[in-house]
Amino acid sequence: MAYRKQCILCAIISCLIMSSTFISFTYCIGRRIAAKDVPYGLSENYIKLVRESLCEKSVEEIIDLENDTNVTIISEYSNENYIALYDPRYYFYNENPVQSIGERRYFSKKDYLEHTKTGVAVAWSESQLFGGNIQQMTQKGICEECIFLIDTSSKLYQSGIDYIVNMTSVEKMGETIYIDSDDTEKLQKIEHRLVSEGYKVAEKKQNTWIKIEDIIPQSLYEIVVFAANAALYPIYAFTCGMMFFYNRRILKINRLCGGTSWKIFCHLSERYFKVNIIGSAIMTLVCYGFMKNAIPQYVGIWSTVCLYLGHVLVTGFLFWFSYICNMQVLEIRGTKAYVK
Amino acid sequence: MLNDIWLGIKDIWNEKWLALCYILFFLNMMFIVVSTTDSLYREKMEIEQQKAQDYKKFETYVIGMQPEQPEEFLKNLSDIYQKNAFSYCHVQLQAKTIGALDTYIVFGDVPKKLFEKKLEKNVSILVGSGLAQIREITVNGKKYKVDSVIKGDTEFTTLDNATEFTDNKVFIIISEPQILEWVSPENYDVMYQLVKNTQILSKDKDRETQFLRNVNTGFLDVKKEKPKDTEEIAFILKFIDPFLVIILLSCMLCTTLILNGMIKKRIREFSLHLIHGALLTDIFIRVVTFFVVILLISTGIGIFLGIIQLEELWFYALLETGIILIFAGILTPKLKRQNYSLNLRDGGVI
Repeated sequence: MAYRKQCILCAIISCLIMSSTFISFTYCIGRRIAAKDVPYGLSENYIKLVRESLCEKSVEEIIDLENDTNVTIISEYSNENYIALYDPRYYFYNENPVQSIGERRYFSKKDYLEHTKTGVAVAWSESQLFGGNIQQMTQKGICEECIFLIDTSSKLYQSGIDYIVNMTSVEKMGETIYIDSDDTEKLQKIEHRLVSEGYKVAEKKQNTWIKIEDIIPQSLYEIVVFAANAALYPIYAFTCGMMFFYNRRILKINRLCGGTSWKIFCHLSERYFKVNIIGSAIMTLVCYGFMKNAIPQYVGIWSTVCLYLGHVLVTGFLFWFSYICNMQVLEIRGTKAYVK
Repeated sequence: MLNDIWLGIKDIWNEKWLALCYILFFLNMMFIVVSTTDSLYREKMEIEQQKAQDYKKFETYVIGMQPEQPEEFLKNLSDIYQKNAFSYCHVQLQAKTIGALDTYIVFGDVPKKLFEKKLEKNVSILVGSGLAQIREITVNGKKYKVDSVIKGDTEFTTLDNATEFTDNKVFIIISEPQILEWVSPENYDVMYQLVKNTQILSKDKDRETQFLRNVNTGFLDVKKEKPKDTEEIAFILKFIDPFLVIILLSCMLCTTLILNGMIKKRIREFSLHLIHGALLTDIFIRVVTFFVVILLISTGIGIFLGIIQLEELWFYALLETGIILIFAGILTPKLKRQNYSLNLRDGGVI
């Protein structure tokens, strides 16, 4: 194979490694982010919104209580001892630790439609949780009918609250709202609705900026995927080295004709860099587009650009390094033998 | 032959850093291949199993304190269990000498495979092998003779996914139930259990809609149990498999270039060997040994670290054979195309 072809093959391998790096990074980061704590144990689709301007809307003005039955909404109020919950998809159903028919139950659709002042109280002791008369734990105006109790280990518990109340019984939504659903389209619709009412998206699990500690793999699968990909880089370095070794004659002839090390490198690597930079960019775009439809997208556009630049720099450096190593060996051995 | 292998191992020592990278790569790559194939196979099996199940289950949520018309509620349930559907509840019966008896009261059209003997009678009673001394059981003031003893200690899974054994349990099977005769309308707990444990034949869609309509009256909310999600399969097919294909492809392409260099490095040695009577096969074996030993070492490290289970070893062997065959395919034309006599001039390799 001629040098030119080998050079292009090197660049193509680099493009392939770029796409595998992208996949493995997405995987590792996705798993890291998925393992992170989410408020109230919501799913990774959750969105946190914060009120910016005055909004006196109640929940039924934002959503359609009859049809939007696959969303969960939690709203927090500052200076109040309760949070409000709208959960017709029974996401928190299992937070009720005592299943006692006839005494305890979960929020029903009727509660939401009729704005009943139902709520969940926080039990402070175990005897209260299991045996206490739950109807004594009501508070006028907030939770007039207590339907079940939770303890402080529950997902719904936050410090400083005593009640989780039916959201439709409260007049307006709070300062902080969490929405969550399996149906991302519906989620977006509600998000737009809330944004137009004066809320601002404060936190989304997707598209968060990646921190260094997220990149470090932790579980076995992450390490394996990460290491399989990482091992490709040294193999790639050896490939470049062997490629230059195979074409040492070209290096020597260039040397004999009086080229300096840097000039020879520029001359020999022009095609490689062109193919590598353009090919890697195309591969990144292809992967980005492909992954977007395949799985939830965790890696934002800037992280992808950083990844791409990093990859091009690393492969370029490895290419240059293997060239320099081969050049050095030439210098030591001298060029005498080839003058003959 | 032994000589060739020895030379191959020496090559590994000479190229130790390269070999180390290869070991790291193959160790991880093979683990990914085996574990994803394994989980893909298992998930597929599970989904097949789920499809094969004839009976549909439901998820039940308690949203009311009590049914508005309990008699009506139970009557509706009785209608549903007449055919193609059944349910059960778990109660404790009191026995004089033994104490509490774990009893399952099964209402409805029970599938044949659940109880070997399909019993003709309206009310039939089965006891586990540990309770064979029981002859009669009194329920609701009526005496019933025990119809048969379940031989052996059969394992069965309750709907809560707990595994139980039949040996100390009593099963009362009521095939065409009027639940009101058996359950008092104030016993909401049993009602909840019955609804929760209901299974309806998948084919009988009318019965299913009837059930959902009758039950969702404010006391309980019933939803169809979601089918097992195929997320993991989709993840493997769309995410890990392309990843594997890409890293394998790039590894193969790297290897072609690396082999070029490795042969070039040793071309004088090879030429001398050929002059002294070695065959091309010997050289071929020498280079292949390089990769075989690398793969063996990575498998060994995997076993040592506990990543590779011994039962999966055959799969690894299969995979390694495939990789070696691909490498041999890359190597053969390279060795054949060389002109060895040219490389013996003074001046060495250029």
